[in-house]
Amino acid sequence: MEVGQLVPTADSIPVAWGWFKFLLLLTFALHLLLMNLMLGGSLLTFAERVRGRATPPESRSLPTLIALTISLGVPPLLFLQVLFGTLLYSSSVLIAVYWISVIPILIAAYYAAHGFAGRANGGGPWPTVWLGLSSVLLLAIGFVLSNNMTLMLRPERWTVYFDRPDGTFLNLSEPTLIPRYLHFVVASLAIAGLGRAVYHAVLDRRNGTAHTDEIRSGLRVFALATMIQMVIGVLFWVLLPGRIGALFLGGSVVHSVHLWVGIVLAAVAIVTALRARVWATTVLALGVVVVMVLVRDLVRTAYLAGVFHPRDLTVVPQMSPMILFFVSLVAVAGILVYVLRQAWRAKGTEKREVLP
Amino acid sequence: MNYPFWQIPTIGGSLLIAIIAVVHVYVAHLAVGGGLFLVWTERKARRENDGELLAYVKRHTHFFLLLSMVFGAVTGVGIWFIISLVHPAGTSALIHNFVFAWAIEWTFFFGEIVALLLYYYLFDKLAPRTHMIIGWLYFAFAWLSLFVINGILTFMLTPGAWLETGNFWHGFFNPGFFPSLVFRTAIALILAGLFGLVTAVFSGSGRLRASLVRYCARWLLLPFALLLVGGAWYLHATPEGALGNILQRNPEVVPFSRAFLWGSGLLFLGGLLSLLRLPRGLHRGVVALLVVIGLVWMGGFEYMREIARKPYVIYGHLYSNSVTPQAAAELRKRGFLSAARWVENRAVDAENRRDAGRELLTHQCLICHTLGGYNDLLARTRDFTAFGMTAQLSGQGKINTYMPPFFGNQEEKEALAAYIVAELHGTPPEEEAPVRIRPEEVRIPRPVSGEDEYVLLAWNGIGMRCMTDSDPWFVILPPANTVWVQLIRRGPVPKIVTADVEISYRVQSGHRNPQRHVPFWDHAQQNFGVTLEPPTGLAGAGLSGTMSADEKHGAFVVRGIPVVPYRDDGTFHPYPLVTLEARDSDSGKLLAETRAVAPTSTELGCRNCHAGEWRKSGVAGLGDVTAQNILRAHDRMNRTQLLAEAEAGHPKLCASCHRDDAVGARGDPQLLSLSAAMHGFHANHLPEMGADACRACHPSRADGATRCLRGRHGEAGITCVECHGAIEDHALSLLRHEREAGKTSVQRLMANLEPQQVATAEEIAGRLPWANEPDCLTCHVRFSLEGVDAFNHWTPHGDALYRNRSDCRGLMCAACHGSPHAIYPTVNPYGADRDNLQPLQYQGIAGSIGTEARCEVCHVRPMSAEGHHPRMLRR
Repeated sequence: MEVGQLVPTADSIPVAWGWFKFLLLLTFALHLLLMNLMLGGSLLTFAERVRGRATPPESRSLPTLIALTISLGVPPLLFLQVLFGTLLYSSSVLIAVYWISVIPILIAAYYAAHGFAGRANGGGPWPTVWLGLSSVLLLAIGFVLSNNMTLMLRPERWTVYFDRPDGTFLNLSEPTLIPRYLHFVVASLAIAGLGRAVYHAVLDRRNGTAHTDEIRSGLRVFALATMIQMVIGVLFWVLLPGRIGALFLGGSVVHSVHLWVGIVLAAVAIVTALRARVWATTVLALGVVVVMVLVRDLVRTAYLAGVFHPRDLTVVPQMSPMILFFVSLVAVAGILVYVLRQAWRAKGTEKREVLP
Repeated sequence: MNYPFWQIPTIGGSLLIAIIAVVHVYVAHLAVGGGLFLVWTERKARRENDGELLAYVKRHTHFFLLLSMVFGAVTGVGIWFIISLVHPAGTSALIHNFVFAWAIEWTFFFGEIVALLLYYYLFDKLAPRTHMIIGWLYFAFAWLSLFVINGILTFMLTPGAWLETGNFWHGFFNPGFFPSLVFRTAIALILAGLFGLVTAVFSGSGRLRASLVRYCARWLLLPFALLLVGGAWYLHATPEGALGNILQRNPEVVPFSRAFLWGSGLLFLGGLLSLLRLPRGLHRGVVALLVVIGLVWMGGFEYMREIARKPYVIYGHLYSNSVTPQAAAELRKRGFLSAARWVENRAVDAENRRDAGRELLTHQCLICHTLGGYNDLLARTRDFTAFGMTAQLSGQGKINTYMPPFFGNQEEKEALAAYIVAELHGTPPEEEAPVRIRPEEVRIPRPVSGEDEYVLLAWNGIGMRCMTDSDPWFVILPPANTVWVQLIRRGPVPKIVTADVEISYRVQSGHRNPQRHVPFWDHAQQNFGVTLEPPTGLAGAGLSGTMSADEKHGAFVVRGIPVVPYRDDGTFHPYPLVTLEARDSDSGKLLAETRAVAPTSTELGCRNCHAGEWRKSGVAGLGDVTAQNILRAHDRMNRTQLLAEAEAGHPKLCASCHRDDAVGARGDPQLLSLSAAMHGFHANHLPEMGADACRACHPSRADGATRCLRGRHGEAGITCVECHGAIEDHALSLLRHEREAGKTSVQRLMANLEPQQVATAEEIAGRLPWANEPDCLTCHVRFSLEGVDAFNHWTPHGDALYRNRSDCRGLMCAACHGSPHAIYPTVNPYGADRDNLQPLQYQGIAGSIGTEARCEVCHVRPMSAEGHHPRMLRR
């Protein structure tokens, strides 16, 4: 059976594909940052509790982070469907049982996070159990997502459908699956560590306190995790199909520049982190995230070369809905900025944590 | 067909969608109405400076946060997940057409989330005014989120002008948009009250609890006015076909519409009950019950909306099984498999027939049906043979438009039918074996001699009287054979005699105990409202007796002889003989004697589709299983209870509802005549089959047990179709007459019938069954044959029928030419000359009476004038 036979015919799009690519990458980067804070924060706190250390108060914001991560996960999923729906839907059906299980798992993780947050300051094992449960469930969700994101790039594997049409397939034979998954998990630890440092730096700036230890330890976590990321990244690169790996090693200027800019930024960020330079590290880390999101997109495009490219999508132009989207985005953002400022002022008067 | 299909046939993807969606919309509507409830109640608390009430608002907000934000938000994402798994094509269509609507909705959703988090976590930390602004913002974002989603949801049912323009705004602000918005807003407010009650009944002090419960009950009750307005408006905006689905044409909707209607009533009553002072425990019980009722109510509504859309996922644009209406014609021609992507078999052949059938089932049926679960395909197909299943697929989507048509070519249709019947039900394929008939010698009555004064000509009225022997279940036709005779006094100027003579009839021995073989007499009271002693027929005639003079036709007739096609030994024989004797009334002297067949058959091929066994001898009779299956189908499609009634001992005569002049029943004037209903319905299921469609039901199979077309026409290869039209044309003629009588229900049956013998349906003249029938003179123009196509040229009334017609001398056509469908000379399968008795008796030749100028049969000498009709003396 020809692979091309299985790739569905795509529906048309209302504006040029570049708009969607831009929105996809932008919102994915935002989602990624929040996801990193959520997952990494959860894992770090769990490790600390297991080791008997005090639970930082900001860790009680886990349910809020989950809510925001989900909210910011919606637009990249939307724009991914617009551009790559034919591939995503197909691979999703192959792993349907696991894919749909993300929903109950997420609900369970969410309630477990609430279970933890409500008792974080209490004694006994239950807060740790809830947190551990939440962490494990969030890790499981990430694993399913990695499965789907790799499977959608490999239409040649889709013929497995004819043997297992019940949605119980997992893309475990994909060589890059584990390094890719670990890449996200370890990045979460790094960003969560950085997030803690930033959080305390903000508090210090606002309240005149000095959470030097918290900032340093957060940056250490960032630096260590980012070093591990380097190793995992190399492993990931090695396991990529040869033609794709070669693109990042001089085979393509665009690919190589992106990758190496990312690596350099990460390396510098490790240095600044170890020197406890929280804001410099933050800027660099954000740069790394943006570059890595772009690299990830380049890898996807390279995988799909000859199979599918969004530029092949038919455009039936209708601009007005997109304009209204931007208008509503600006309006809602403006309103939220207003209410957040109100909230900030209110919280500032109490000199307490920003989030519960 | 464009995407893989997630195969979980025992559960069914649609059930998963339903579970997630119903829970989500329940909570999501609460999130909207609850937003208003929270801020409104906070406003009340602050105005009244009621700290207790304010504390309640905070508690309720926490409950609300946990319920709406965790469960509501994640199940909302869950809907996306599940619809993309179960219906990727539909999801893709919605995503690509409304990507920016989804994106706009997301901005409101995000605002909603942030606002709710702030509203709860900063409840006691913000200035009241600021806090309430955030509360109002929360409600505004939530309602705007509903506003946007409402556009996409209603688009699926009422896409309106979008179907032509493809314009985003036409699709979004579609005809159902505002009615649905009003309706859903009402639901949101009702649920706000309902969930307010949940926390209210658990509130601390008795004073607060009592006032809160009454407050929340008012929230629950008052929006019902809005619900009624929105509901009526919504129904008004719903397209006709979808409305038909909601108004229970689709039997699947019944439990859900009941759930919604009953749920509405119970919620309202529950609200009223909550206004009363009840013990705390009872209050809690009532509220818990109302929460469950609310979920069922919500589910009922959403299911009704889903079912209303059938057979589409986007009305008029995309069928449930992901085929577009535009692709349908091409798929019928080219085949489904060759156009589908996620199939292994690209065409049906002898080797892959089973697998191809399975793939067709997967991609065309299992999106809505399960195998053993909800909307069970097995339960709905168990009453069919493979032939019947093919017919069902042919008719699918034509009459009951809540199912899509089958998409594919004939081979694919048959492969799917075979898979369902043979593989899913394990029913081995069955070919109706040719029936072996042992012809019998028949004694020719004594020939006429020179001294004989009289000739007695006899015939049956219609050539084959079918009857049903399914009396415990229903009756289409009772045993009721009609035999005519004309008595002619021979002479140079023969005379038709109707006075001073008595004509007796007597069914042959061996056919004298019909009550042993058919349950007609056991159920005559229920079916016909009379108690009959066997073997007396409905018209009072028995198996022997005296015929009545029919002055109008110059003949004698006996109507309703209850002769059946079963001999005393139980064998099937559809051509019993009747002996007829003419005697002088005064002296009793035998004037003439002859014999004729009283053709009668129970070989009705219902079982060809509706399964079951023949009732008798493996060749004829309407068996119990077949009859039950027919009633079950009738009940399902027409919302009747015929099967249950029959099981309770109250079977029915079909003509008691559907007028049938063959049994003289007027039926319900609102309903179609039996003939129009039967042919109209089945024509949709047996298309383009020519005479094979007729043979599937009527006893005209060339290798069947009856072989009723045994006359000159049949021998010449003329089938039913040349005179009556193919079943489509035949049905259209009957339906057109009903339409002209003002019966609008014919539209369902006519809409998809494609005429076979004329270009358009409008060219077919309407006709009343049993009165407007094919006219012989259409082909036999001036008694000379000019082509063979009598269709669409109907006799103007019953008196003009061949069987009622006479020549200018008063001699009835059938007296010389034999019964309709058995025109002399005939070849009867049960003995070649069984239908030729009088021609052989009176002239020694098996042809029309008087054939080859045998005028002496009556005239006692040769004649040169063509006294009965032109060209009668040609050789």
